[in-house]
Amino acid sequence: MSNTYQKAIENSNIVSKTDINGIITFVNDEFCKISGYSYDELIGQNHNIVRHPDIPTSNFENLWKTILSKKPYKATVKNLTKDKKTVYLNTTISPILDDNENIIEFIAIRYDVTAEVELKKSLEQKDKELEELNQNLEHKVKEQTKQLKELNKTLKQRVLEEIKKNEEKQKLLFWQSRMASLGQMLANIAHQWRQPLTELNLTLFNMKKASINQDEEKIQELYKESKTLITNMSSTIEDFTNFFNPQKDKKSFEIKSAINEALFILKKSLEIENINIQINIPNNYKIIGVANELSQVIVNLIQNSKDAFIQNNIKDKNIIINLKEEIIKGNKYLLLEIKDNAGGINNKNIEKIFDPYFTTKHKSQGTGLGLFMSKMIIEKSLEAELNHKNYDDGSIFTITILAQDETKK
Amino acid sequence: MKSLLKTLKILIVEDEIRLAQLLKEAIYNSFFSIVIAKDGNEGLKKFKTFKPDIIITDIMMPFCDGLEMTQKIKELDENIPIIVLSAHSDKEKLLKAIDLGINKYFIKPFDPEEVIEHINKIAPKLRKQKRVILKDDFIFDNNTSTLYKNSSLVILSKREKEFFHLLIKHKNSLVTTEQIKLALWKEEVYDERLRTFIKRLRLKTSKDLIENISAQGYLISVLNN
Repeated sequence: MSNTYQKAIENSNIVSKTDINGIITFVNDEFCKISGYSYDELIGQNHNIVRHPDIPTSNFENLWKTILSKKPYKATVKNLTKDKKTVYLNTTISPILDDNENIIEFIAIRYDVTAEVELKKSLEQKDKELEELNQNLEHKVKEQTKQLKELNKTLKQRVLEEIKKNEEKQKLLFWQSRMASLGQMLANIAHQWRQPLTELNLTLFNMKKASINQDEEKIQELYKESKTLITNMSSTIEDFTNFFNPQKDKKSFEIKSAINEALFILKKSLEIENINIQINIPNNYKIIGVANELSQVIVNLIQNSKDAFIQNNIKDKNIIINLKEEIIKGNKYLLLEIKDNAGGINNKNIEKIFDPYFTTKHKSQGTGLGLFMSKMIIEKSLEAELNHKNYDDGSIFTITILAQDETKK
Repeated sequence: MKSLLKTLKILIVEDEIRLAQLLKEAIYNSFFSIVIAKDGNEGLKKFKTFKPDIIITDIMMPFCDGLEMTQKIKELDENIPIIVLSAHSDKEKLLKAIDLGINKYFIKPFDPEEVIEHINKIAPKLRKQKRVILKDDFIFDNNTSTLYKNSSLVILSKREKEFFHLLIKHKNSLVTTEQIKLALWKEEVYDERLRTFIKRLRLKTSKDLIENISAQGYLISVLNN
């Protein structure tokens, strides 16, 4: 081996030589540097001076077996330095033979791979961590899924509960609104009955007088009159009962007759409050639905107008009910308008008028359910829409109904 | 007591005609006379011509309702008792009625006996003098608006009757010329016209029946207590 060649190897590698027994005969500077021992400390020592205690003996047995059989040994070896640091060295040990093929010595060429090994180890560690993390994550996902599933289950139940609550609320609303309408109806009956009751009272008084005076003719006349009064009162109560009976069946009915029924119910209150009502509804406009429900909505709207007239102190009180046709997006609609000059609805309330329990009236008069229920009835019973807008000096409520084919005959 | 009611004139204002008739029928023989008006406007007119002692009125009527009429009547005569019959029991109307000085509020259907009982109760306070004894043997009948001198009738014009009512209402005290002109003539009149009117009335009656408080007005002396 030329000297220069040897130099080149020695400069770039960690080189050592031992005799056949493993006693160090040569080390280069690189060896000293990495092992931490000085040249003098190393020469003459057994090479196992740099052996790492972790390495099992079987490794060395394998090494010796290999090199003694005159083959080179290659491995990455973990060594221990003088100051007890671990280094990894990529090691090739080659036996040197003489001309008779006998081993003279061993030469070991190494280079430092500690950094790589450490890197590899840390990579492996990271891998492991990742693996663990992965597993953990899977577990976590499973856990979360389980929780979600449970939530889902209870959510279903909660939704069901909420729906039930809502239904109960609706029932309560309906019940309250029915009680409120009943109250209004009773007030209307009371109005219609006050007059005949007063007359009956006076008739009885006069009958008593006539009987004291033994005026037989007068008694007969007053008796007949009383009977007529009672008959009329009885028929009034029958009309009201019919009006308020819940009808369930949807049938074809005349819009005009439903309006007339509503006006009959309100006749007395309208008279007392001096309200003019003008009806512009042609005959033969029929729609399908529950007739007295439409009447109830009309009663409701007119009562609201009436209350507004009083509240706003309007002297000349007018309500106009119109029916007209309109084509919207190619379909024919009937527009039933209830228009008053009672001052309209305050802009700050206009969004809320159809909300349940919203009222501008004193709590003794308003439940805040009238318009809410009216809208429900119009939507459910007539599959129509109820809308409001203000105009000049009052309100217009419009019921928009899809016209039936045989609407106008 | 019965005889006191017998001197009273009642005005019923009610738009339900049958009800008004039945009420009149029920109470007519307790009173001197009863007149019916069918709404507030007619009620006001009949108040002026008929000069009722008590008004019974409905509250809700077409044209000029009971409260409006009451307000106008109270401006003319704040002491006249007004009894309201109402189908309303609402507070607002009741309070308004109280403000106007309504004396009693009956909710329909009311008991006619209670109405008569109430009138019986207020009648003594009216100090109604059917026959008013005046100076120089003159007697004025408030209900019939007639003047007698020693049981013989003195014919009076409508304005003269009004004049007697006005002076007797303020008996023994001064009624100013302004008040008289306002009550007797619808239009603006000169003092001269009032003086001529008094002069002619004195010719019909006597010089002292109607007393003159110079430059201020007139008064009538009522001799019964």
